[in-house]
This record gives sequence, structure tokens and C-alpha cells, in this order.
Amino acid sequence: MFSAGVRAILRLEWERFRHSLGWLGRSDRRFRAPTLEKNRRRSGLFVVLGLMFLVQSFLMTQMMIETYAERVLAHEEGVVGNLTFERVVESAPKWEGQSDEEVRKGIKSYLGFSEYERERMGLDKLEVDGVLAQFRENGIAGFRNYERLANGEITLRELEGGPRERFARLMGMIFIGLLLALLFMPMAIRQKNLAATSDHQEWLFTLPLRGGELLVGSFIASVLIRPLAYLFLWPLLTNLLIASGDGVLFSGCFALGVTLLVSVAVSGVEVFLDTWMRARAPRWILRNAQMVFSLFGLLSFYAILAACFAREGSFPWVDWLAVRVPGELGRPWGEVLISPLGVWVSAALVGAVILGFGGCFLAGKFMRSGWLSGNGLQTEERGVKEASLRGGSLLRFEALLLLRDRTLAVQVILVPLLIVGYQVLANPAMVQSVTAAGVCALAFAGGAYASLVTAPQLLRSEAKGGWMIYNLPVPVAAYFKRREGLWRMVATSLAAGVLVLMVGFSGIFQFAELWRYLAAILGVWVLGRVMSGVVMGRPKLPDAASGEAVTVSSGRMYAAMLMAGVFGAILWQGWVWPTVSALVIFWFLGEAIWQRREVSFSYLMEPVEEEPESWGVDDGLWAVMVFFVVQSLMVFFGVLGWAMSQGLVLLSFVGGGVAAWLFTRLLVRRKKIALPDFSDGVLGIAKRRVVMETALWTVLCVLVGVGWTCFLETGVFGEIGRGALEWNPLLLILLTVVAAPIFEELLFRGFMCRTMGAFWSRRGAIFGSALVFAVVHPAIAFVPVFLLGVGTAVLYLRSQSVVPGMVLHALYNLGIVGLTWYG
Amino acid sequence: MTFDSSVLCLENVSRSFGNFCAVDRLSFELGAGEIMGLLGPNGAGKTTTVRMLMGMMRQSSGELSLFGMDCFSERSEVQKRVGYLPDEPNFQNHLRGIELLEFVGKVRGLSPEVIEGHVEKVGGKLGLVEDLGEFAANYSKGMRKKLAFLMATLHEPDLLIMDEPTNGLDPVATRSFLEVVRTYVEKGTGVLYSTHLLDQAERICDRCVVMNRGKLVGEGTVDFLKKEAGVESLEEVFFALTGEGEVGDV
Repeated sequence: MFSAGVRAILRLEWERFRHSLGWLGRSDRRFRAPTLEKNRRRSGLFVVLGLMFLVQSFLMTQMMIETYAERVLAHEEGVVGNLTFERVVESAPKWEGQSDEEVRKGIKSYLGFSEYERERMGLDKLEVDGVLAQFRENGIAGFRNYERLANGEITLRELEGGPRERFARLMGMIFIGLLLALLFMPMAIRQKNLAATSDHQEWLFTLPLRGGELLVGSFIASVLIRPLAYLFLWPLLTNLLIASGDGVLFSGCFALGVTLLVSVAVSGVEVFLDTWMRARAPRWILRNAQMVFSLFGLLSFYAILAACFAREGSFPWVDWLAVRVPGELGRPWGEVLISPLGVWVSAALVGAVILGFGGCFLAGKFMRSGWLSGNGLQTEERGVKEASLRGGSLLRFEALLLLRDRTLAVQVILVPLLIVGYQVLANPAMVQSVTAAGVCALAFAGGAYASLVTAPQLLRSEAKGGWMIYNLPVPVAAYFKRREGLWRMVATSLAAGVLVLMVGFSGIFQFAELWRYLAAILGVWVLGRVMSGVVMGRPKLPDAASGEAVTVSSGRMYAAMLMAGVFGAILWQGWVWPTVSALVIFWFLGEAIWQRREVSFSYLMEPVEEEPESWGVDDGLWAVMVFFVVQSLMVFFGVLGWAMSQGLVLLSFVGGGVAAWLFTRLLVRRKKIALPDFSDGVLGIAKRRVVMETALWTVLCVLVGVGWTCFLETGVFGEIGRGALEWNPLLLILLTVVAAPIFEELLFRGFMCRTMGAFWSRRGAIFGSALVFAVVHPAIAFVPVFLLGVGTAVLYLRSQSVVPGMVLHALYNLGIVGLTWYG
Repeated sequence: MTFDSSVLCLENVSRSFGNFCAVDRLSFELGAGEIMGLLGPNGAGKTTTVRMLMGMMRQSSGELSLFGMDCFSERSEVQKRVGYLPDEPNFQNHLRGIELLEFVGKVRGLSPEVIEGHVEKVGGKLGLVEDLGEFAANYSKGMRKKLAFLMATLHEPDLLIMDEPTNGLDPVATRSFLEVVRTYVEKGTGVLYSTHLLDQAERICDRCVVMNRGKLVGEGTVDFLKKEAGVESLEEVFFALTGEGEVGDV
């Protein structure tokens, strides 16, 4: 069908696309060139993820269309919700002879059912009197169900008058937003460096291809490889057709055809823009192209999301736009979308022919005048900028990179500020009703987003100049750490800025929530270190000298997002002690991960050799995190299912312990950690000295624990301790004297203290593990638990066995439980 | 032949990638104020050797030291006295030549006056001064080489390690570049000069090390090597030592 040249370009573009999505074409570490074999294996995952996304899109767009259609239908008079409608039909015959008072009573009870639905749809509250008046005026014929579309009583094409116009406007606006996203997202994401001639293009030009082949190849690739079109436009159009009354299979195929036509039109515009910019565009456009595309793409995508999910009222601009701009611009598009099929086909065809082929024709013209002439970094005239010295520094160097790399600046600073700023300016009602929790969560989210975006930057901007760092008289790890600190400062400042902005505009500052404001900012600072460490991970530096882009594994990105999400949720809930605990654990984790990174830096320049399997302090901390995450999840889902019970607490504790223990086994096996097995060293207990010391520590810890409990007149176990008298004694003993010592000793001493001891000083390992141990317990018991942590850690390091610690831990817990019972 | 003031010393250095041995038990020394050519066909292990010397890569066995310090573990200390010119220097997209120089100077703790003086003196000789306001990403290969050389010599190093330094320079720039290198040598800087250009090596190098397939196949002054092989030019020495002369039969 196509010439060999076109086929080769299609293949090439497809491979590039696969590689651009980390999880598809992961390159083999041993070779710089990606190997085909690996790609094939990864494609399975790609298909599964793609299908999942497609199903999700189908459900989402279906929900969206129904909600919109029902909402516009509900604006008619006399329309009630499904349940109300059914009850009215059922009871209306009885109402005929009843007094207004009696009917009001009946209506009131029905309206209760539909209020939630109405609220979900963003509709006004139904007034009892209004419904009554409707009934008295028109009888049962005065009512209609607004879920007529979902019930199949009406199709989109049958919408008339006001509802039709309103629906058309909204659909038209979403459609236009989607077209913009379709065009600009790939141009912004594809790492097209329009500012400098890409090697890729130059290389293509050296091949014996005709210009036409090059153009056709790029055009077809651009039409076919447009994931957004298949993952969003196609489901949307299919659902529109189904809602218009067409069959499912027909709708799917027809919508696919139209999607392809739309893709042709969009690709034509893209190929034209691309070629025009390379050949003719003024410098300022070239220099800022990627930034502008990024801005358009992100904002239009955000607008679609907001339009799809926002309830009426919460995003006033959706309504504002729906009434004004799309009234002129969106309605014709929307009208086409809900009109008969012939109009669809003609519109798509006309668009495809004019935009697609017209764009290609113009691109061809520009190409003949020199595709490769664009070079946006160039100053107006060579050397015109005076070469003057102003005393550089690392800070200035980074600031320059941030300011000059405008795409990054837009993504890191401008878009979050625009989104928040828009809310502040356009939606004052929301800002004024915002709570401290909301402000903090928003500030943290902004900061965490910025650290996630900037973390790969640490390596990416280095890729070309990496060799320079190795020629500087500074340790490479220290250099990266310093840069990391600077980027983290940007993210933290952003969080602080959002906080000040929101608090300033809402005028709500709650002094009691001061800790939460601080925790939000501190959270970005502390978590930023963990995230940059996780994201950098074991970076694959393709070739430091060639200036190829660095890829960061997307799995690591997701892990970092998950961690930020967990911390954000804790902050949102306003749990003080868990927030403090999370900050301490994350701080340790950041330290530990960066300690490990120092090893990988030595191997950065040597991508052909794999970084040696290594383990570090962070492994112990990961185990502790698994313990608590599993525990919290079990409690969370358990409470959803059965309500909080003593059995559930015990179960979640044991579950968390088993999960963390299995996790450590996995780590030990996978990383080949040369550690003695947990059961080793048990014989150490036979040593008389250890027995002596265990006894001494037990006396000390129990005395302090008992003293502390008496002094504060509260249980050291917090809530559990306070309610200990109501607990089943057997369960309490099982939890505190059996399960807790076994699992906590294995984790905190057997793994965490051990890993800390191997990398840090003895004192660091003892106090570090005791601190983490203490912060994950109730705040009130900090002092005695910290002492217990120190005691067990000392015993562990002396005996190299967890058994003495288990005995001490069990006796201590028994003492406290006994005191609660008999004290 | 050992120098009392040896600045660079390799002893039985090997480096393998999996089963492939890129550098095999390599030993040589370089003294202060000496230019040594590192010669060898493509894939002989020259760049691997240079990378190990720069502490970018660790040797599999043997010892590498610069100024008596280990290249890998004491890298940052060693780099205070070393200048490095890679074969293909690349720079960040968004920085100008002068900004990169400022950055390197700042990290090395040099004052703006020193940097400015250096740019005027050396940059003037190489003819790069007027281009320093340009983004380094837009530099031609020769300009990038010149900028990297300015960086490498900013701190008056005691040892210069250069990988194909004149590759990409025009004849005029090559001549002034070699003159600049000579002034450094006269001041006592040792130079390790990895190259394919044998006539250039014959002209400026005091001694040469010839590598082939990771092994050292010849070492000594150019005259010594010529005498040993019984030939007239360094080019013939090269063919004799590396066994690449038979290409003519094809």
C-alpha cells in the first residue's frame, strides 16, 4: 500500500512512541539501543493498561452525557427525579380528594428521596409548594421524570428548544477543548525540541527518501499514533451515537471512522504547524513554542475535566462559557454532534479534507524552502549579547535553567498558580468557604506536584553537560544533593505561596491549625527529598556524551505519587500524630535513599554496567512503612465492612506484621542481602550477661512506663489503653504481649536497626530506630516507648538476637496492661 | 623511563565489560612538563583509559593514580589539578558560553577577574571571545571544543587530559591551539594527548604510548619507537605495532 520508505517511517515513529512511554519500550540496561525482544514482552502490559483506560473512558463519557442531558431536561418545569416521579404516579389518584396539607405531607416524604440526586446534578432544591401547585394546575400530566434519557424514553436527537441548545453548547465546548488537547498535548509532550534542529529530523533527511515520502510518513504516523483520540474522542462519539438511539456496534464503528477523520484534520494542522515553525516561524514563537503548547494542552485538558466532572455552580466559568463563548462557537459544533449521521460525516469529511490535506500541502511548500532552518536558541545576531561576567553560582545557574527552560517553568509554576489563581479570582465563594484542611491539602498538592515535575529535571538537564560535573573538584553526589535542595526549595516556595494566597484571599486563618499549615510546607520539603530520590532511582543515563534524554522509570513516578497521596490524605484528615510520624519516617527515608544514591552516582557515567545490587538504611524503613500501610488499609476497609472491633485491631496488626515480614524476606532474597537470618543468634540468649542486661532493662523500662502512666493518669496505649478494661483480656494479651513484641521486634530491631547499624554509627542506629519506633506509637507514650526502643536496640546490637528484645518488650507491655487492670 | 615528578601513573590497569576486556594490564607513567601521545586504532581502549583516569569509571583491577592520589576514590581532590577536554563536549541547552565558564569558575573557587583574564588571554588566542554570548547549544563542533578547552585550563591545571583535541578545529585554530598547549607545557603542565593524527603526534609529543585491543604494544620517544621498528615515520610504527597495515591488500 505504501512505499518502503513510508513504511519504514511508520515503523520508526511507532517505536519512538513506544519508547516515549517508559513502560512500553524499556531499554535493556546492558545496551544503549532498546532491544526488540524486551519491547514485545512489555507490550502485553501496554494492551492491558490501554484496555483498562478505554473501558474507563467509555463509562466516564457515558455518565457524562447522561448527566448533562438529564440536567438540561431537568430545567423544564414540572420535572422531578425518577423516584419522585414513580411515587407521584403511584399516589396521585389518592391526592385528588385530599386537602393541601395532606398532599404536602406526602410530597415532602417523596422529595427527600430525590434531593440527593438533584444535588448531584446541580439543580435547585424542589419546593413542596411548587410541586403542589404543579399538581393542582395540570394533575399527573404536569410531572415528568428527568431521567428520561437514561430510561430510554428520549434520545439526544429528540431534544428540542432550550434543552437542545444548552446541551449543544456544552457538548460543543467539550469537543473544542478536546480538539485543542488532541493537537497540543502531543506537541508539548513529545519532547519536540523545536528550538533546535532535532537530530532525528536531520538524520531522516540524510536517508534516500523523497520529500513527499517523508511528509506522507510523518502524516500517517501522526494520524494513527494519537492515543488521546482513541482513548477519549472515540468513546465520547460512540456514547453520543448510542444516546442518539443508534445500535452499539454501528455506533462503535461509525465513531471510529469519524475519529480517524478528526485525527486526519488535527494531524494536518500539526504537520503544518511543525513544518512552518521549523522553516519560517519568528524566533520568539520558536523559543516559546513548547511552553505555549504545554500551556494550551494542559489548560484545555483541565477545562475538559472541570467541565465533565464539576457540578453546576462549583465552576462558574463552565456556565459562563456555556452561555457566552460557545453560544457562538460551541453551539454549531454541538448541533452537529447531536444531529443526524449525514451531518456528522459531511462535517468530519470537510474538516479532514480542508485541514488535513490543506495543512499537508502547505507543509510541503514550506519543506521545500528548508525544513531544518529553525534554530530558536540563537540570539538575534551571533554574539550580540555582550559576554560579561556577573559572578555565577550554582543558584544562578539553576535559576537560569528554570527561567530559560520555559516549558518547565510553565509546568512547574505557572499552571498550578493559574489553576489556583483562577479559583481565587473566579470563584470567591469557594475560597471563602474553604477550610484549613482544604488550604493545606491544596498547598501540599501544589508543592508535591512541583517536586514530582522537577525531580527528573535533576538528571535531565545534566544529560548533555554530565561530563562537566565529573571534571569539577566537587563530589558528584554532593553536587546533585545541592541541586536537589535548590529544586526542592522551588517546590516548597510554591506550596508556601499557594498557602499565603489562599489564606490571604479567604481571610480565614485559624491559629489552632497553625501546625497543619506548617506540616503542609514541611511535608513538601521532607517528602520532596524522598520523591527526588525515588524518582531518580537507578537512572538510565543513555549516553552522557550524546545528549540523549534521560528516562526515568514511570513505575517510580507512580510510587512517588502514591506516597504524596498518602501524606496528603493524612494531612487532610488532620491527624496530628500520624502527620508527625509520617514526617519523621519520611525524613529518615529521604536521608537513607540519598545515602544510597551516592553509590549510584559513581555508575552514572557507566550506563553499560549495572549498578550493583545494594541495600541500605531505607530497606528497613520501607519494611516499617509496609507494616503501617497494610495495617491502616485493613482497619480502613475493615471499618467500612464490619465496624471497629477488638478483633479487627488484632487482625490488622498481625496482617501488617505478616505482610511486612514477607516483604523483608523478599528484599533479603532479591537484593541478596548478606544478613544473618532472623532466627540466627537466638543462642545469644544463653549468655548469662544478656540475661542480666535484659532483666535490668526490663526493670528500668517498666518502672519508667508505670511512673509515666501514673503521672499522666492515662494509659500508655492511648485509646486502647484507655478502653483496656472493656477489652476481652485474652485479645488484649494476644495483641500486646504476643503479637506486638514478635512483629515489632522483628521489624524495628531485626531489620531496621540492623540496616541502620550497618551504615550508621552504633549510636545512630540505636537512637534512629528508637525514634521511628516511638513516633509510630501514640504521642502520649513517646517518652517510655522511646526508652523501650533504646533498650531493645541496645540488647539487639549486643546479642545480635531479637529474642532478648522480645522478652523485654513483652514484659514491659504486660506490666502496663497489668497496671491498667489493677491500678 | 621514570620521571621523578610523575603526575600520572598506571599500574597493571585492566577494565572489562562482561566478557569483553577493553583495557588489559596497562602500565605507563607521565611526568610534569611532558606531552605524551596516547595512540591506537578505534576500539583500542583509549577512551576507556581516559574515563578511568577522570574517575568516571572504576578499573576492574590494577592501580591508577594522579599526583599520587587514587583517580576514583579521591576524584574530587584530583580534579582540582586536572583539566579535561572530552572528544565530544556537549553543554546544557539553555546556557550561554560565558555562563558555563562562570559556573565552572565559581565551582572551582576562582574570582571573576581570574575568569575574565583567562577568557581574554586564551579565548582571544583561540578566537572564541566574540561567540561567548551565544548559547552553547548553537556552537559548532570546533567552538564547543574551544569552550571546553577554556574550561579545562581555567584553573591552570598541572595535568591536561585531552581526547582528540584538534578534531573539529580548522587549521588556523589548530595551530593556535597547539601553541597554547605548548605554553602550558613550558610552565610544567603534563599533557596526555589521545589522538589518531599521527603527524601531529610526531610533531608535538615527547613520548608515545601505542595501544591495541586494550594492550600496550609500544612505549617510548618517537625516535625510539621508529628505531625499534626500523621505520621512517610514526605512521609506519603505528601500522607495524597494531598490525593494521594489511588494509592495502583489500
